[in-house]
Amino acid sequence: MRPEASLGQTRRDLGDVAPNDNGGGCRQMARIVFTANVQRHVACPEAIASGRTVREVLDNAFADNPQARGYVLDDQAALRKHMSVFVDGRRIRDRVKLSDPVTETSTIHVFQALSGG
Amino acid sequence: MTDTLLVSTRKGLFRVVRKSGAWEIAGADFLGDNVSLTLTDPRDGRHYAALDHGHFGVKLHRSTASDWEEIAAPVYPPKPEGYEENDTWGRPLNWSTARIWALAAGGPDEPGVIWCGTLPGGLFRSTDHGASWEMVRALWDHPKRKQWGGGGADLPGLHSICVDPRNSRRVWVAVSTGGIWLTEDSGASWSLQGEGLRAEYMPPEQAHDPVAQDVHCLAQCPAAPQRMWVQHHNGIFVSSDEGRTFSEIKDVEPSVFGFPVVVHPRDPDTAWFIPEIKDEKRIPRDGKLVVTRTRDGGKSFEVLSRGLPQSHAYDIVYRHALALDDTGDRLAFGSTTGGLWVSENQGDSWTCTTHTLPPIHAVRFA
Repeated sequence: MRPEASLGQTRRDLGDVAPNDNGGGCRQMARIVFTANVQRHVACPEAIASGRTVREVLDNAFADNPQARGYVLDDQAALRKHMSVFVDGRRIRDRVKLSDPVTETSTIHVFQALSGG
Repeated sequence: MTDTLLVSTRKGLFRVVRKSGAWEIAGADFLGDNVSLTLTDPRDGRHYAALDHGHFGVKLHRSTASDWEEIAAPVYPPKPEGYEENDTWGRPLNWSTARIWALAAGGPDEPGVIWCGTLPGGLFRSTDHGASWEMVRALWDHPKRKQWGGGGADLPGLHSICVDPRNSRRVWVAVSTGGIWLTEDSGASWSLQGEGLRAEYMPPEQAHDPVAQDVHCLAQCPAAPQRMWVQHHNGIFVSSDEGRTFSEIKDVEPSVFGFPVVVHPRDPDTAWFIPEIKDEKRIPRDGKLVVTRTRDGGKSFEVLSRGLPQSHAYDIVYRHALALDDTGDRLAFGSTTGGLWVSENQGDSWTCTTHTLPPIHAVRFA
């Protein structure tokens, strides 16, 4: 179930992207990969964003792509039913507040179950 | 008179047009996607289409000159921190749009105003052709709103919106289940209507509680707005005082159960229904698909069947899947088993356009 991720090979040089977004603390930048299934409805290119939790990372990612936000999160900003988020291959536990921690080398996969008739 | 139908289905939006006297499928948009409802704004001709992507949520699209564009979908306000609210079944109620179940244009004096009803019961209003939406808080925050319940769907749903043709600030909405509500100030305040409605699924002491009523569909006569018709969960009701009080109409053959009702635009006594056996057996009686019509305010009903399948038909017609055009002559309806029928003579006879569409949620004249 572990999503393929070769972080060291695919990460960009984060120091060139957002050098001042760390508020003086340890810089947190994660890579976010969106399911291909959503691309038919709204463009969700792979992104990198800062944050110490899934919430922070996704908020930052969606700041540049607000239309995509509603495809992943519901009106209360919780993860939509049947959507899944993995951090470094592990399914997150907090689908409501998205408080699962993210490290500066994390890869976040946003997936969903395809079902229905 | 319009020669175009928009048919919302589980697998796309189909455009059905009249050519040389026959109706045929002319095209499809959003093919493969779940389209729940459309609105054609009579003030400017724009079309709106509500989509339910399931995993990806509910979306709204608006027509452009040659295509569609996604616009804002109604979004519920943040639930207050620490606030807990359960649905009818004791589960936490998520303040999030679960379905767009009603779309209505505002009055001719308020261009750009669109009303939108949703599950789990929120009503939204746009003043900019759907570019942005604001929840009508006065209704959502009304203490009795918490008494709304789920019925066929797990969540309560606001499915009917009637804008008073005499005064656009007056709007009626109907909820399944939650009764009929009226605002006279564009949504700033609301009052519960519907005395006389009866819910046989409730204990006797609550059977006539207006908020307990499972209104399946509310229709208002444009030329005589005091006349309203209700297809209710357990019956047919009619009002002659713009919804304040209703009378129950009983003993209608083949049954009084169903989902849609439409009323003639100029004759308040003429209305159409599509009956199913009963709530616990939602199929046409004896496998015969029929439409019922009254021309005398509900004193009597005709059973219309010419051109409709009269053997082994198990079509269900949802509340938004029966349409009447502005002439009052043309009707169209679509079924859960993908059948689409059109009548050019007020239902006297019907022609099947197709019986192979995906399950049909809504039919609207464009």
